[in-house]
Amino acid sequence: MIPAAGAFTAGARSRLLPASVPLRYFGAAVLFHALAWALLFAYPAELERFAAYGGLGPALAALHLVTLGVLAMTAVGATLQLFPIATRQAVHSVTAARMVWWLLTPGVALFAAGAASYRPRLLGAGAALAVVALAVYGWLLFENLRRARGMRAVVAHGWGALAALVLLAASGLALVAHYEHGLALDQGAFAAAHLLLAAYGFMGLLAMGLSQFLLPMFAVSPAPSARSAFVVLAAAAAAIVLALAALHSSSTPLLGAAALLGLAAAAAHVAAMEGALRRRLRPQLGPAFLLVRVAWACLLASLALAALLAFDLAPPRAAALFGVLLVPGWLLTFLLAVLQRIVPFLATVHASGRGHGAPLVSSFTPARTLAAHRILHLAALALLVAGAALASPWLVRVAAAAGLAAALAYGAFFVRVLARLKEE
Amino acid sequence: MDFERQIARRLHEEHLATLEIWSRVEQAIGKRDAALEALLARAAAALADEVARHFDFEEKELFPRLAEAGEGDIAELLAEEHGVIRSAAAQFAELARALRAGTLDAAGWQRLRTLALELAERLVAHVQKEEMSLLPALEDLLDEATDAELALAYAG
Repeated sequence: MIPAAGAFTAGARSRLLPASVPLRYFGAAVLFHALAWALLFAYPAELERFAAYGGLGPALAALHLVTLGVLAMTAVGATLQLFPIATRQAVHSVTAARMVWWLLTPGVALFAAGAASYRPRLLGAGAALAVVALAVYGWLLFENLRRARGMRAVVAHGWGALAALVLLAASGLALVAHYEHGLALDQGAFAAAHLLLAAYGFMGLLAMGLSQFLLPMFAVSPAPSARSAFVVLAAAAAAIVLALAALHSSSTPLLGAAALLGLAAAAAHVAAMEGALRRRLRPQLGPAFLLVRVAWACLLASLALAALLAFDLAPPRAAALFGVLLVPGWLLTFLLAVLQRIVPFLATVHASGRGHGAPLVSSFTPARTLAAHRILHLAALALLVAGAALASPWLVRVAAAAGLAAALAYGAFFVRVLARLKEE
Repeated sequence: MDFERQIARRLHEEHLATLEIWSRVEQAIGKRDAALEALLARAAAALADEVARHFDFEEKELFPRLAEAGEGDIAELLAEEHGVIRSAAAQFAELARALRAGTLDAAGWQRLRTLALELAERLVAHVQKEEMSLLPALEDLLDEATDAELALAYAG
């Protein structure tokens, strides 16, 4: 006998957040994703200049539209929903979960506007909002991890990501103080540490941790062993600490060793995930896994290039290439792959209970739109790699045009899922 | 995933069996032959058993416990999916019977094929949700004695 509707819900404080909480983060990420490519399209020569000299400008703005506006924004939205599932603990405060968005979204917009227009004060205001937002998020994550039960490997990755987030925010504030108030610091070393903590620390550890249960769920396969996950985490954390020590002491051999250790950790992670996927019960993995594999390849390539850079063996313009492989190549590609599976799944969960029966995930997945996105995104990535390697602003502009088209296709996918959810 | 509670392990094993058979159906459904017909008959029988035993047990014994622990919306979502799968399973069983009896026409075959693919997708998504939400929650909700009682009741 089927229980009557509403039979179970009285007084519930569930791990399932209202749909509007995670979806608002994903929506903001869709917008910032398009803005980042648009900015690179408008200023393609800035990529090479920024990789060589750093500093304010459109490239810094585009980079943070991706890192803060897309990656961190999505990570916050996704983990607010996913960590409670993994840890068997409800979000500590749904109000705080909403508030993070209200702080982070204008924070990203102000930061990008300040960086693009060379106005450090505006950038500082944006950074302050973003740091407050991430502090509130950090508290929510801390509360969740503190009371966590189950999925110990995922939880351990969460702790690593949280530690990286604290250091990332501190290094970011120091850099803003440098730009805004002339705080004396080794700008190159701080910027490198900030990038390391953001990309391999906070985002990288979250991606690796959540992969332990998300990818097996998508592929219908067993998860990698907890032992292998802990070994990978220990190696990755050691590599990050070693790299920070190397930046602090300006030791290039130590930095090279850190990159090689990171490469070994990443290779072990990919091997463990591939091993789990090989044992899947459904032969078809789905097209999102093409993006996952490209992302993994970029992760490995970024670390190999980092080692070459540290040992002074890298080809010319390797710094720009490293940034391309790391941010749009590894993190953005991985996140877009995972998000295109999470959003329809989450939408069907929230579409249930409206009296129309439980909808199929495939009915919330516009396959053609996602195929268009996949082709355009991969084309953008390949062109950007070529543009960075050849220092060709023209190629970078074509890449940005393809990236912008990909971002718009992704936006169309997101809007169609929302429209379908509204129909239900 | 490793579960400590007997009942969670038992349900997990049944989920794996469901995924195994419906993944095979999904792969084989393109070509109509004797092997596929036998597979569909097996899938229909397994589904009938799952709906009658596995679903009923979850609804009677587990979803109320989930709701008491504050996860009422998840329990309701899973129960709603049971309803939809039950209805599709009944249609599927009827068509599978007609297939075995040799009375299924081309339109009926097309309907059976579509329904099999729909059921495969629904069952996979349902298992994913239970593996993510219900089974881990049982690890917290059940003490050893209750777990043993439930496992015995389910086996009986």
